[in-house]
Amino acid sequence: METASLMVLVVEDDPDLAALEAELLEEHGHRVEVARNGREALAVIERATPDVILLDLKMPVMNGREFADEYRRRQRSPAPIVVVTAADDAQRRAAEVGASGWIAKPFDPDALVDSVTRLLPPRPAQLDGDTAAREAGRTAPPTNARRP
Amino acid sequence: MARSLTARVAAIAFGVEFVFALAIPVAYLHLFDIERGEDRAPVLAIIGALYLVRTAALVGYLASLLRPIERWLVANDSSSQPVADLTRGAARAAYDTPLLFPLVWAISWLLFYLPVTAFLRVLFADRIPLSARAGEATVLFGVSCFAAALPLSYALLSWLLGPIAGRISLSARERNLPLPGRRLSVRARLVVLSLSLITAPTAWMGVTAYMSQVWTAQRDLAARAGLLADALARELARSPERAVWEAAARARSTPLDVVAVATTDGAIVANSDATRELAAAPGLRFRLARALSRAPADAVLDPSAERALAYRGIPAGTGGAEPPAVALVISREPGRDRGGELFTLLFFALVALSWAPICAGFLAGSIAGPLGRIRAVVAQIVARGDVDRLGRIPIFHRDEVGELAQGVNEMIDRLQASAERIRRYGADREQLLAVAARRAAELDAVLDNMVEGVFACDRSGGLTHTNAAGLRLLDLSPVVAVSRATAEPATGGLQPLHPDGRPFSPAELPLVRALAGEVIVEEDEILENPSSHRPVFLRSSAAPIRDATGAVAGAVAVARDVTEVVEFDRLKDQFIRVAAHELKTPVAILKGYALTLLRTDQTLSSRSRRMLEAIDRGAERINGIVEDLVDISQAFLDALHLSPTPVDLDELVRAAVAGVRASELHRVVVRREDPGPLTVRADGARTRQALGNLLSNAVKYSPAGGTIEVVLSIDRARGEARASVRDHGVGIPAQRQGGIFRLFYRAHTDTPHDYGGMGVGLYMAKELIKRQGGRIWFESREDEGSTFSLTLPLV
Repeated sequence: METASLMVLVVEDDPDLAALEAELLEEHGHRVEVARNGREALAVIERATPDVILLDLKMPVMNGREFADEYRRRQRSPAPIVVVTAADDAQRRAAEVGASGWIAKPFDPDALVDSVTRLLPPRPAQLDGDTAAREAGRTAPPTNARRP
Repeated sequence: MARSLTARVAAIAFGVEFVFALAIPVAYLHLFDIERGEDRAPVLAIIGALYLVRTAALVGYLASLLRPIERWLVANDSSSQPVADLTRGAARAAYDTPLLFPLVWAISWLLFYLPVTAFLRVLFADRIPLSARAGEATVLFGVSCFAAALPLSYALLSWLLGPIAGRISLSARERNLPLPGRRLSVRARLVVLSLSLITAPTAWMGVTAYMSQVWTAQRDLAARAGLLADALARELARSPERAVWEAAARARSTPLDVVAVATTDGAIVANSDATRELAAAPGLRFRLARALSRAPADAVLDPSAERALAYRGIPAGTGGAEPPAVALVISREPGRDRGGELFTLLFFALVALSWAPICAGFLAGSIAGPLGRIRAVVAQIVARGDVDRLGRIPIFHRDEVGELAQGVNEMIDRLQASAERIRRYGADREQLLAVAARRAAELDAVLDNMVEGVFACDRSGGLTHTNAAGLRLLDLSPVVAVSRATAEPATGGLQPLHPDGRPFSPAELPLVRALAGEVIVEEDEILENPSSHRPVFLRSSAAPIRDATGAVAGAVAVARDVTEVVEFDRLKDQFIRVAAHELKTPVAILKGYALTLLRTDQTLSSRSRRMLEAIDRGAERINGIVEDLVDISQAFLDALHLSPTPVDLDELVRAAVAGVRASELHRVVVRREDPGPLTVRADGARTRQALGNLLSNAVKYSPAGGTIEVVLSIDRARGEARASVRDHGVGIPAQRQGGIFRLFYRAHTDTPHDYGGMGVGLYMAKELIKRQGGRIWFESREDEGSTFSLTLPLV
């Protein structure tokens, strides 16, 4: 699974969760930039070009959706976005944002890493949003399945 | 007052009769030509005596007839009510006496002159010679009197007793007694009256004509006898020899004429009659003496029987000193004249003229009087329509008029009874209306104080009742609500929406559907309040109102404003969503770090590892609870997002089994009864969730190491696939099986088998399967295990 090192932007208002995500990804050799909200994320984008963006939707100052819209407006070739959300209709929300995949909280650590690495080795742009979302859904960790 | 009735009736009746009774002897004397004063005196004496005797007897009879009435009057005047027998007897007397007594009265007149005539025949034959036909004449005369007396006496008695009969009839009516007494129809009375009116003068004229014929014949006889006597007297005057007289008498005699000569003292000195008939003539001596004492010559002897006796005096001293002699068979013109006949005629014409109108008047009065009363009563009924104060019509006579009066009385009885009934009905109706009004007021008060809006409409859909809450719901005044209602039943013109925002078509409105016979239970609709523009959530039930025949006569709808409930539900849902959202992030941190540590840190002690695993399991349980809460909230709001696609039930079952087996120590066997494809149309994740719930229950209530069997089959007839999860665990007690699919219901609460849980699993399984067009059910026996089955439609 050790592939190319990627630049991952984690946009998450909860510092503990952001730290968890960063640790998991860095453990797999990826570089991680953390932003606490959409505005911070836009600031990061000014100075760096992420390969994948892990985006929380519900955030103070600027939420995920606003960020996604603004990001796409600014970037001609935007990086794929994976929505990480606690909402019960995560899939629908991911589609609204135009994300390439989604991960429901709480997530399996491996699934998080997978969702990032799966997206990249082929050209991320070749995956349209729907397919990516379905694939992401299928690879969602067991925690995503309903508890019996 | 006692006895006054009989006295009054007798006085009036016999007083009126007396006037006529005075005329009758005159007629009698005239009829028999009894004109001399000395002859009349004994006749009148006899008549007077007989009249007194007869009248006394009749009065006595009348008194005996009227005695029951007198007794009734006495009883009636005293305060006590006359007993029924007394009333019956009085009524009978009052009705019978006017029929019975006049008959007896008239018969007394029929027979009255027979004894007079007989008396004259026997005692005064020589002094008052009656015609040989006197017997027949007297009978005819009696018939005439009878015919005259009958209507008069009937009219008098009816007139006198009618009022008292009327009084008695009313009294009898009050006591419900039938009216006794003989009935005599008007027809019969008119016939008797007509007969009497014709018979009386006819009989009188008959007897007069008859007698005049008798008199004519006797006059002729007397004339012949006179001629013979004249001739004899002339002859004897020339020869006073007795021998010559004898020869002359014999010569003059014929087989029809007897000729004799007598001395003035009555001794026959010459006689042509061998039988001595002349000498034996009754009263001859007396009459000769009387005649000669008054008029020595040319005296008249009245005819007696069929013989005319004439005599002529022979002048004395013609032939010697012989005592004066009389030539018998001497006649003279009788003293009857036309003046007498005219008098008779006029007299009886006057009698007839005065008597007939009186009778007719009484009779007419007796018929027209009661008829007038009846007419007045009927006119009163017609004019007022009010029968309560109507008196009863007295029944004067038991005839058609009396029956008519009785009929009218019965009619009034019925009318009063029916008026009374109507009044009672009216009173009952008033009372019922009052009760109904009170009930209606109570009902109105109850309805107006209800929280629910109540709407009732008639068959045509027009609102007939809206309670206060209903008006508040519609935010309209009553007038507007009612007037608009005819156009838009039950909503007052507001446009109701389905919960999903679709507008109701008119045919979908609860009242309209209830009018079509449907019963609607707890359906939701949304009204846009026109003033506040805030939605009002209504939960409506409706049902048809059926009449006695079962036909729909209207409909009633009850709408509850559930806006607060709905808003509370939304708030709750929002709370659950926010809470779930906020809980998931810390759960994700817990799980994430715990799992990361477990997987990456190889230096962890086994103790730390167990702790981290426990943290992960705890976090996982919190996550499960949160997801259950989200599911319930969505199920309640009907917001479960299901996306059915063709999926293989076998695969779903195996995935669900894998989820369970991964964490528990039970053997799960999947068995297929049908090798065919098991592709069903369902939401994969949700179906797996439902299957997982059944499986986890089977595991939870089975002993450790127990076997759980999952059987897959196909029911092609119904077009569905079936999955049955069977365990051999504790089973469900029969009395707890009823609510097994209810939310938060836990069959094993507070039993040794209570292994915890929220009571959500089976509820969600049922909701999920139901929403995918499938069915779910179970069979269970305590201590033997349970089998839960679900079906899903085959593709």
